[in-house]
Amino acid sequence: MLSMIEFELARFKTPLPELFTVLETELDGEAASLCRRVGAGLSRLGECDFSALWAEGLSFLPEEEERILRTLGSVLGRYGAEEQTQAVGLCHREMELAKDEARVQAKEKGRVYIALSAAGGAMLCVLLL
Amino acid sequence: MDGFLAVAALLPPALRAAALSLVPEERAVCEELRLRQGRFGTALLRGKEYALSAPLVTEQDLRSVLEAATRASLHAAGAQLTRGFVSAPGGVRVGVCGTGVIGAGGLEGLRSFSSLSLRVPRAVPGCAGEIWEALNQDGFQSTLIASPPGGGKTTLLRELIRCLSEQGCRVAVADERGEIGAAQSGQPQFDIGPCVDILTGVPKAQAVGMLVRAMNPQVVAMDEITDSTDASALLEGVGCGVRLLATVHGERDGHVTAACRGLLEAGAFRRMVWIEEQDGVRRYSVKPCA
Repeated sequence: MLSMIEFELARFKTPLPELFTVLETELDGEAASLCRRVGAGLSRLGECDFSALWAEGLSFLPEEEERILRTLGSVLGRYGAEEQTQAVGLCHREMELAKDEARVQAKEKGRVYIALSAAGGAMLCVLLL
Repeated sequence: MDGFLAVAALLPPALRAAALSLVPEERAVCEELRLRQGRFGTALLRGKEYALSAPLVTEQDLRSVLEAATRASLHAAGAQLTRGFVSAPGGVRVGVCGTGVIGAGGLEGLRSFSSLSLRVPRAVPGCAGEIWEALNQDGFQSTLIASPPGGGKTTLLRELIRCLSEQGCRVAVADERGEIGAAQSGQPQFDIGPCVDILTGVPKAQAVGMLVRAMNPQVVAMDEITDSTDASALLEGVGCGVRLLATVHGERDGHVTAACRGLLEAGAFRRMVWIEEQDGVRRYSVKPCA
């Protein structure tokens, strides 16, 4: 999603209503839901700021993703295309780092479970003997 | 479509409540809402500003209005900003003041916004009634509408487009600021008739050429001839046998912009409509161009 936003802003300076409509059809899962919620909320601009709409849209995401993406709410649509693209790029890299760390942690946890189960198995054998 | 409500919809809550507290008689004559940082917001009624009962306008208020006006897409409104305005939904023109951002290519945008002027768009069906017969005598001829600023030129232009279109005349509209038709997702929000092709957001000079070449119009309509590039584009249209309908800032004594004087001297227009305001009432007079 973030790479698509980066591309659309940098290349076409796509207005956000059109951008979220396009993303909603191109993406699936949580990303599509996010775009649908935010896109639908744009009719309330004036009544509330985009940053509030963006934060509402993120509320269904896992905590870490919500934390990283929240910063974009105060940037998207407010500055020139170049500044926005840079901010989205930074967010994208942070997201990738977070995913890498999560993978590493998952691997570590997997090793711990195997070690525990091996130890448990050895204990069982000793008990049976 | 209610132009006043379209303007109010752009405002943050406190200012919106203040605007909506205007009584219907005031809303009917409200020409603009003006927001200046550090001052009370005002409503321009019959040429005079009246303070709105809301807290002083902040920079955040101005940003919030621009966010709503551009649909959270300031990055897409850069070209308009360099011309000092943005077009908002509903045909609302938002004039913008701030600090210029100057780059290698000249003015690149505005920042540190200081004030906004929100023009209330209006459709007044039937306002051309008293001059329609005079304008159609021997068939519709190229017509120029003139008045001082805020005189109702765009309102009359919109109504004449509708009337021509209702007669079956193909009218192509160069709607650079989106004020004439207020097109949203390709649909005009004002009733401008069944035979209209509208090009929104394209600089007028370019738009006229595109419309004449591609849409086979019988009449080309545009708002505010301001400079020589607009005038040259219109002359090309005349050369292709298209009739013109346009507006220009002017005074009753005949003073119009230099670009327009050239068009008049070249015989591009056959008729002129002057709009004057007397005792709060708009009066139209039709004269042949010399």
